[in-house]
Amino acid sequence: MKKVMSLALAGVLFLFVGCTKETEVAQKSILMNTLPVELTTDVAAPYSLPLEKNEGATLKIAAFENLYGAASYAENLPVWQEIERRTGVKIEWEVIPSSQYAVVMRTRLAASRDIPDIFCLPDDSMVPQLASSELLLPLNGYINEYGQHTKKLYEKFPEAYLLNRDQDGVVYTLSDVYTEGNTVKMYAALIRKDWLETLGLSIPETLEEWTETLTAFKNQDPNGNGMKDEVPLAVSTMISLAPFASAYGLHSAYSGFWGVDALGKVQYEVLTNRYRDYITYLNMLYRNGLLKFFLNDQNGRNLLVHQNSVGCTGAEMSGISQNYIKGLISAGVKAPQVVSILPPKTPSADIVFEERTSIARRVAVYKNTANPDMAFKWLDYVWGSEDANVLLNFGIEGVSYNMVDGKPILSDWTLNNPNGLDPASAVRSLGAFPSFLNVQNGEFLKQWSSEGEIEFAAKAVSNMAKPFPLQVILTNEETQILSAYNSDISSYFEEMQIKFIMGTEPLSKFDEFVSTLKEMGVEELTKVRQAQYDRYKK
Amino acid sequence: MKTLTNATVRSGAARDFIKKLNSQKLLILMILPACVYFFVFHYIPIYGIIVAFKDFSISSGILGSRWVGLKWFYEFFNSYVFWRLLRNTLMLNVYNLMFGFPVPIIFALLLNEIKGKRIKRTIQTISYLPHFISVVIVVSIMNLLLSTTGGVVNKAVAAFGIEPINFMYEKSWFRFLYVFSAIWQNFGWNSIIYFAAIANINKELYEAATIDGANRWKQTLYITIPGILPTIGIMLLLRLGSLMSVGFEKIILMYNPSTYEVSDVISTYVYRKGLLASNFSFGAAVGFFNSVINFIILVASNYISNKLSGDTIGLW
Repeated sequence: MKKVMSLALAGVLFLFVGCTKETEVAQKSILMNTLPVELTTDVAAPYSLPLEKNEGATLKIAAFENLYGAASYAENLPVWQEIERRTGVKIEWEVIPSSQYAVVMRTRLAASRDIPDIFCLPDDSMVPQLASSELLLPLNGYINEYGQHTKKLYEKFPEAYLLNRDQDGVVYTLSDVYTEGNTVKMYAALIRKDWLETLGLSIPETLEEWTETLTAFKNQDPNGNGMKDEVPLAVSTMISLAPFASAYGLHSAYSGFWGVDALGKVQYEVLTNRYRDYITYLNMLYRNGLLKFFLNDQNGRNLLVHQNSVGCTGAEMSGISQNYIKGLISAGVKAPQVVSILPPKTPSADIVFEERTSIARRVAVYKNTANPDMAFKWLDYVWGSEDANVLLNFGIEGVSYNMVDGKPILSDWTLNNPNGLDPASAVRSLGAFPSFLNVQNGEFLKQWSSEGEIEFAAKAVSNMAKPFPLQVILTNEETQILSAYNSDISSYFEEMQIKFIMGTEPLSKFDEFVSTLKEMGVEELTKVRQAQYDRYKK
Repeated sequence: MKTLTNATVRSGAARDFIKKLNSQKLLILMILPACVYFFVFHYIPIYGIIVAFKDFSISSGILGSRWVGLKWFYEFFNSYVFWRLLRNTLMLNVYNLMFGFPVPIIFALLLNEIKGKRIKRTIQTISYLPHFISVVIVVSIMNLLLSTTGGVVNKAVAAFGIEPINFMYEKSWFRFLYVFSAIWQNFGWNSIIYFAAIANINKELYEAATIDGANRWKQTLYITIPGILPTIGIMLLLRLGSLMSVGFEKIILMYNPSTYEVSDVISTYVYRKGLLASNFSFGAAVGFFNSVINFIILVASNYISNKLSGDTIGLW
C-alpha cells in the first residue's frame, strides 16, 4: 500500500515537474530569443488594445520624477490615467527625483531585490553591466513577435535602434528619442541683439567678428549705465564654450572632443594643435576680461543676466531666452532682445553646429518580471505608437490641445496658462512631455516656440552635424577599460583646460599636457571609441 | 575534596556574577539598545570590507564575486593623483585642527568670564546657530559674498584700490575658505562640551584661589584650563582619529576644476570614481585604506597621550 502511494506520488510529482518544464521551455524560447531584430518584416503576432481584459493587471514602473515638481506621476496624472484606460493595465508608480534617482536605483539594482517590472536605468552606460547581471530582459524576441510600433519607430528614427543594441545586436532598452525635437529646440549661444543694435554692430559670423563684438560689449557700455560693468561672455558650464570650439573644428558640445576624420579614424581632439589654438583663443578672451566663469554657480550667472550685465551666454535651450527677456523687463530694460546665434565659421568657412544627442534615459524590462509579454506590449504601445505619442506630447484633448482638421493644436490653456505656467510645465502638470519614454514630437515643440526660435531652427538645421555616438552600448571589456581610465583622464583634462584658459598654467606646458594624457591611457580610450564608432556605422 | 572546593568556588563566583547581574539589570537593560545598534549597524556590515578585495558585480553579490586580491589598492596607489589626494586630505585636516581646534576652547574660556547670564546665553545661542545651516546654504552664501561681480567682499577690497579677487577660482584661497567657513559654522557648537566641562569644575577651588589672591587670569591658567584638560585631550584624540577623512559634500559644492590641485581629496575622488562611475570595489578599497590609516593614527596618538600624561588622558 505504502509503495503504491509513494509511486503514485512520485508519478504526480514527475508530471508536475514535466509540465512546468514544458511551459518554461515555451517561455524561454521567447525570453532567450536574441536573434537579430527583423526590421523589415511584419511582426509575428500583432496585438490589440486593451492588453489585458481582466482587472488587476498591474505594472510596477520606476521612473524619474516629473520635471514639473508640483505634479507627481505617483498622483496618477490624467495622461497616465488615459494610458491605463487604453491598455487596461494599472500602473504602480515608483518615482524618484532625478537628482537622487541614480544613487537610489543603483543601490536597489546592486542588491537585486524588489526590482520593478519596468525601470529607467540609473545611468545610460550601465547596460552591459546590468545585462550580464541578468537583470535586463532581451527584447529581440518580443520585438519580432509583437513590436508592431517599435519597428515603425526604428524605421523613422534609426538611432533609437542603433544606440540601443549591443555588440551582438541584442536590444535591452528603449529610450527617450530627441531626433525630431533637435530640429526645433536647439542649444545655441544667446546674444543681446539690442546691445548689438545700440552699438551699431551686426550678428558676428566669424571668430574675428566675435572677438570684436565681445570687446565692444566690454568697452562701449552697451547697457548705458555709464559703468564698465558688462560681462561680455558669461559661462556656467564648459559646454557653453562649444561655439568657439566649433570655430576650430572641435566637437566639444556632445562629443566630448571625440572626432572622426574622413577615413573614419577616431581621434581625441584634445591632443591636436587645433585644440591648442582653441584654448589659446579662450585664454586671450579671459585675459582681456571678455570671458567670466560661473561654474557651479548658475544662479550667480542668471542674476547677472537679469541685471542687464551680460552680453552673451553659452549654449542653452533657446526657451531660456524668454526667461531672460522676462527678467530683463522686470529689471527695467526697455525692449530687450535675446536671440540664438550660430557658432562662428571654421577656417574652411563652414559651420559645425553639433546636434544634441538623439537618445537619453534608457528604459528596460526586468528579466524576472511576472508577465514579460504584457510589459513589452505596454512599452511598445506607449513608446512607439502614434496615438500614445500625441497623448504623451500634447496631453489631454479638450484641455491642453484640440483637434483641428485632424491635427492636434495646443489650446489656449497651454499657451496662456491661467496658472501662469509656461507651456512645457502646463502639459507636464497633466503628465505629458514626460521624463521617460519621451519621444519628442516636432509639431508639439514648434507650436510653443517663438517665431524667432522657429526661424533660427530652420536656418540652423542645414548646419547641424550629428555628435559622436558616445551612447553606442559598450562591451563588458570596454566598460572596464573606460572605468579604469576615464575618470582620471577627464578630471586631469578638465583641470588643465581651465588652468590654461585662466592662465594659471602657461600654454608652453601644452606639450607636457599632451604627453601626460598619453601616459594616462588616452590611447586605450581611443580604441574603445573607435570600436563604438565602427559598430555604429556597421 | 579538592574538586569540591573548586566547585564551590566556581559556584560562588557564578553566584556573585548572577547577583551582580541582578543588581545592575536596569543598567544593562539601558545599555542594551546601544549595543544592539552598534552590533547590527556597525559590526555586521563590516563583512562588506571584502568587497575591496573582490571584483564586485551586481549579479554575483558580495559573497559570490571574484577575488582579485590587492588589485584595487595597486590601482589606487599607482594612480596619477594618489599623492596629491593624500596631501590635500592631510593638509585640510591639519589646518582645520591647527586653527579650528583652539577656537571653541578660547571661546568657552572667554564666555565663561562674562558675568551676565542673559548675555552669556544669547551669545552662546547665536554662536551655534550656523551649525544648523546646511552646507549647501553656507557655500551659496560664500558664492554670493565672494563673487567678483557685486560680491560684498570684493566691493570692500575694491574700496582699498585692490583688483577684485576671484576667490572661488584661485587655488591659494581654497584652503583658507574651506577651513574658515568650517570654523565659523562649528565653533559655537563645538564649544558646548567645554562649557559643560567648565561647569563641572569645583567652585570651591575658585573661592580658595580668590582668598589666596589669584586674579581672573591666574584662575583661568591654574584652575579652569587644568580642569578641562582631560576633555581637551579626549577631543583632540578623537579629532586625530579622523585626520584622514574629509566630508566630500562641502568640497564638491565648493570646488571646480581650477582648484582641483588643492581641493581634490580622497573622499571626492571616491565619489567620482567609485560612485559616479560605479566602481564599487575600488571605492571600498580606498575607503578601507582610509579607515586603516585613521585607526593607526588613533591608536598611536592614544598611546603617546597615555605615555605623556601618565595614563590620565586617554581614550582607553
